[in-house]
Amino acid sequence: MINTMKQRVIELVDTMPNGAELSWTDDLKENQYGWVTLKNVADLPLFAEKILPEGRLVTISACNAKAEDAKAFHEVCYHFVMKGLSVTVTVLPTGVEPTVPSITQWHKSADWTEREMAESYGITVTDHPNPRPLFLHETVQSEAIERLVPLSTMTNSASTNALWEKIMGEKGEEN
Amino acid sequence: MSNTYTIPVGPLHVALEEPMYFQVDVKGEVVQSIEMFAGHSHRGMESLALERNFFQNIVLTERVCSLCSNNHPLTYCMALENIAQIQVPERGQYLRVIADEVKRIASHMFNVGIGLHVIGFNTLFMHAMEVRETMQDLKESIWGNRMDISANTIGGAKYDLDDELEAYLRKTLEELKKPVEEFKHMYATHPQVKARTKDVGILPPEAAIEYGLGGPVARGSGIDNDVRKETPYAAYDKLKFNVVLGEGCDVRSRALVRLGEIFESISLIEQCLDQMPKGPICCDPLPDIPAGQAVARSEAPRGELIYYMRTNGTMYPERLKWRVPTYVNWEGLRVMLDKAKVADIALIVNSIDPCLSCTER
Amino acid sequence: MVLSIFKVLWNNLKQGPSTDPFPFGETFTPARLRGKVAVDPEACVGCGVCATVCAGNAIKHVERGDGSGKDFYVWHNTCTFCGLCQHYCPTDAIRLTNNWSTAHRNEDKYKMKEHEFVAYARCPQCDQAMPNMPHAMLDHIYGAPTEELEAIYKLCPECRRQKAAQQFGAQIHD
Repeated sequence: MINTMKQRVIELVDTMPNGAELSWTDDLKENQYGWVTLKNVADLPLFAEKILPEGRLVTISACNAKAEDAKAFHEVCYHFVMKGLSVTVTVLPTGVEPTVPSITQWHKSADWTEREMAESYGITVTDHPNPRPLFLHETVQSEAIERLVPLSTMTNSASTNALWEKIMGEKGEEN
Repeated sequence: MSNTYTIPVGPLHVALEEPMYFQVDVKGEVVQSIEMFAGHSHRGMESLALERNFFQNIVLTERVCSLCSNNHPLTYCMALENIAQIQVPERGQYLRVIADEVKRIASHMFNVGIGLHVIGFNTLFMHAMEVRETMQDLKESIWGNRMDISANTIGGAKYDLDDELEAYLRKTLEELKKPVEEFKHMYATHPQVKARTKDVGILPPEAAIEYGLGGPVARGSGIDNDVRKETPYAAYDKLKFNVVLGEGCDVRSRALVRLGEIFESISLIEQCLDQMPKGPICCDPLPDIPAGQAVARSEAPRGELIYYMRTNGTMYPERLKWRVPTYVNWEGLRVMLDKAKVADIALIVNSIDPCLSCTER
Repeated sequence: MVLSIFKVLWNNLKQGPSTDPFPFGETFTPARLRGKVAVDPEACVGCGVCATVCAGNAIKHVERGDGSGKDFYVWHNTCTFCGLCQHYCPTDAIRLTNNWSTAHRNEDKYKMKEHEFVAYARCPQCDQAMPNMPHAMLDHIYGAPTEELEAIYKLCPECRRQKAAQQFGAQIHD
């Protein structure tokens, strides 16, 4: 079964109009993991459509690409599973405003995760059937993770010196 | 005059007392459409994870959710082990299965119990909680906490079983079989329970596939999707178990799948105790974590859990992303709640075993 | 015979309450319960691994200005009782007790701590301060101690090197 699925991925990668790179890894239980990098984000809808019916979108991870040779500020990884074979497809969102096409019309499970990516990373998702924010209120602008100071940072009291002085200091013991 | 109404349900979730807001359009007492508004318990945990080192994240991920709490650090550690090619000692792998299955029994018993509470059958609900309480005592005795059992660490398990605890574990499981059998029988045959749960919240198998649903929700519609079989991890490749499937596609079928899985879990733990070799429980010393990326998946009580991790050679992850089973199951509610009765909304929502703190992180 | 709901009710009546009578009586506290952290300053080498792995940043080591040792603080109010410190401690100096009693008034919150002093050892030869080496750690590194090793253990790294070289030189002369 896994080999059939692997073959499917190899054929699928070959049909990408703008080309794609493919590599494989395995874990210590010999489960297989495919890693696809699409040369052009425009091929994503085609890939998402052709990976059906076995392929199922599990989730999407947007990342801030930190490597020095990174070609874009963001990378977006689409995690598919084909009958136990994990396939991760990485694309670089293009444009002045980073943009990726929606794949929700083929994979309903992309609906929420595309919306979450849009609001927390400021990546525009085109042609999404229900593009309202997922977790944040409509009045909150996107890229919340990058712009806002998390409450945890404000109240991460355990690591501040002021707090530790209170704990260590004589004050705490006397009061 | 229009005879359609919009009923706001929430933001406090009617079944779970967690915050989720539903906007339900009804005609008479029949649901026409729903819209969901989440975000009340969004804590930005994926961002927090980037500020904590690999060890601290074991603890952080365990606090994503309380009912699936063991699967989070387990899957997180598996992703890290995939990147660094860490071999978990055999005993550690079995210990991971034991911790996972005990949590699964407690979680399933809780969900089925709450389902009974929602339909107003509080006697049986309390009985379910009492049966589950033996698992809570077990967790407290072996791992030292009722919910966050802290069983995993990078490279293996963090706890070991001595002869005394092993005997206690065996005895508790043996004593659990009869009450669960009786409970399952009562759930399946009691006329009121049957009347409220049969043919309610129908999820056709095609819809389960289309929406990419996971866990007992999809298995209640006959979709065989168990990650433990599909992508074996820990010691599951050495153990025998059946994937419990249901055919009813309704609330009852999903509950019976969960009850059926309890017996598989008991059998899995017993097999572990029989087969488990002596030896180290955790890899020592810990190798350096190189730069890389990995995906790890496991079967949490509510379904497929996936972790994606990127590392850059430091002690801190560059990106840590996880998707919990409930995250996809919410959208499935559109199918299950379609043309449902208003009185069944809470029951149907409960049947996906929803977890908000998981969903929103 | 399969249980009916009436039998469940009857059994519940017979059994009485399932809850513990706490605080008027004892409650279930297993030996392994993960409660408040305790530190053994004799066994601590001051390596700081506990502070590194601590998710809540509940552990702090502070070097004393006079070089006599380290103050070891654990603040219970940000401890998550995860037990990672215990797991990674090389000398079993930090462990979780099964004391779960953490209720306190808000004004007492900064007092909810463990404070131990981890004294540095002094080299008997040159009086240099150095981390305390508990026996468990030395046994772990060098195996069962002989009298000769025992004497070397107590020295600072520099004196130990000289001493070992002298012993080695003496062996060559024999």
